[in-house]
Amino acid sequence: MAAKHWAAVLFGLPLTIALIGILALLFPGEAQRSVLPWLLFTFPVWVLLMALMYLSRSNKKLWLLLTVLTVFSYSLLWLIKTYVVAG
Amino acid sequence: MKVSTQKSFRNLHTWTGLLTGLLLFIAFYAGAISVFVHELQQWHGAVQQRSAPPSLAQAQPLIDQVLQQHPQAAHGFNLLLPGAHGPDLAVLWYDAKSGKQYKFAADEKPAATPQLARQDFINLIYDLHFTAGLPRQTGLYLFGIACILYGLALLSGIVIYAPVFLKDLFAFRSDQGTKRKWLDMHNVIGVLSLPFHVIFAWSGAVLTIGFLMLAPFQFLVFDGKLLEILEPDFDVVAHVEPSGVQAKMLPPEQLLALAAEHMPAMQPEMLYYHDADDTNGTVTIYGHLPSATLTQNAAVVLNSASGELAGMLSPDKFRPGTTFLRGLQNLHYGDFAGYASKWLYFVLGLAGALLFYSGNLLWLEVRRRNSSAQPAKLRVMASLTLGVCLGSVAGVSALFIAGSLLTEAWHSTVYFSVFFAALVWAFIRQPAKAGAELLYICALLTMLVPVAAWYGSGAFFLTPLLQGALLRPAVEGTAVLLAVLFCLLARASQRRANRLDNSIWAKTA
Repeated sequence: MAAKHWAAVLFGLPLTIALIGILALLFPGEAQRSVLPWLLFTFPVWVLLMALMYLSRSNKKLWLLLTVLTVFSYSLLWLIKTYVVAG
Repeated sequence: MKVSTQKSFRNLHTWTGLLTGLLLFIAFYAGAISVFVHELQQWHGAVQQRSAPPSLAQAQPLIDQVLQQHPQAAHGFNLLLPGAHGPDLAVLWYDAKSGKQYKFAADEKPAATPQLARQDFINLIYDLHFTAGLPRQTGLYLFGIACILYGLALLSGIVIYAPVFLKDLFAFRSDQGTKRKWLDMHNVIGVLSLPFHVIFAWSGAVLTIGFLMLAPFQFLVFDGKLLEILEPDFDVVAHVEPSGVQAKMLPPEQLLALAAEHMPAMQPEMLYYHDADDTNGTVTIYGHLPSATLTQNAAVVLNSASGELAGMLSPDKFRPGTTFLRGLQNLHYGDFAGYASKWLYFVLGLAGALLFYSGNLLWLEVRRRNSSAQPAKLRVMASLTLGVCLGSVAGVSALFIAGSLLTEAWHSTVYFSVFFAALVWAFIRQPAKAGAELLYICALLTMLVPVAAWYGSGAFFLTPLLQGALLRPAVEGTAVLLAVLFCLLARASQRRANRLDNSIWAKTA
């Protein structure tokens, strides 16, 4: 169980920030109208992501998946910031 | 669902529940009472014999005196109008240097003597709701984390309960032992008030650590530009630097008259002065605006020297994000549908407190051994649950008594004395005995609330009913009902203690 608790503590927030960040940056329209609504979903998304981790039956697979997802999402975020937002 | 998954979620539910249960009990009990914070402030005015109500003409001299003594306060202070926030006309100033908020009331003799703000029993209960009695910032952030864990506890609770949902929801098996009874109660409260709990976990997190949570987005996603994007959602008008040229501010009477021209339907409650002695100074007049939306607040911003309109904010002009944010906040406060929503929140709040209390009792029942020797962790948890929960209940009732009889300076001492006395009592007595005794203390203190108010005001609480005034009968009548409830609970736990089985709730010979 400790492996799952640690996975939730360590990966929950970074993944949430990347996910909400990507959605907020890609959402069409004026940033001043769309950013705050997305940010307000941070807390439910964070809780949901952490809860999903407890569905996993193999701790090894869970940690591997979370590491891959985190690296992937922050790379995507970087690409969006560099090429989409900056134009 | 796999058995192992069920086990994972059961483990998650247990841990998040244990870590947050006691904090959330205090939050829900103090929160249920704080739903009526404005009514209680009026009640406090009604049970204290006080001189004539302050008039608005006293406001400008008070402001002048405060600024003379504390010139640095000109950067930002509030003027609290008598009305919804109680009978006081007062200046509130947060001193960044000492980190303390001061209050200067108009009827103090000598005038403009600073008092620490938020020391009266109503504000103490209000602050207990999100600090549990800890230092303000620490408590606030701790509750932010508790809200996240509370969200996880709710989700895992649903997962555990889902398989038996329809079969068991209205089952109340009082014949199958104490554990079954507590479990049925825990489930029925949890499921029926689930939407309300989801809103609380969510809005509670937003209110406590929402601002803090902007930091990672500011640096990782928006490269330092986030606050710029959000400024229109947080400020009515963009911030203007002071010009450095002194200017005399208009008196509050005149500012309020101007605000009423711009927004006639708003009932002003508070004025916020920013750089008030400068030509670029502003006054934001906050007030209640009846509206069909969740948010019923509005604001008018005027230049403090010229009275020129700088900006207005009302719910119909909100941006989508502001509507969402304010909507969440108002769903937390529960004042969107008058007394209907307030009483609903009061009842659901008390039920929520019972939900967390029963959660802890279940943890104890599940782990008790079938022998007279119980593990030490059980004993500690039982004492902690009784001491913290019943200590805060007794402390809150004692605060109401103090509100009628003692000056503000005593209020926090009264609460903490009662709370820690109850906690110590819970640890030195057998849990079975301490439970009933502390509940009797709660009942007694709560019953004394109307007695103290009678002594303080010189009038019995039902007397105002003859003139058609409902405030005192409602507040003190509720206290009597709660006292009866605590008394019944005390008798039940006494009977339980006399049934000699091996439970931690049974007396040992």
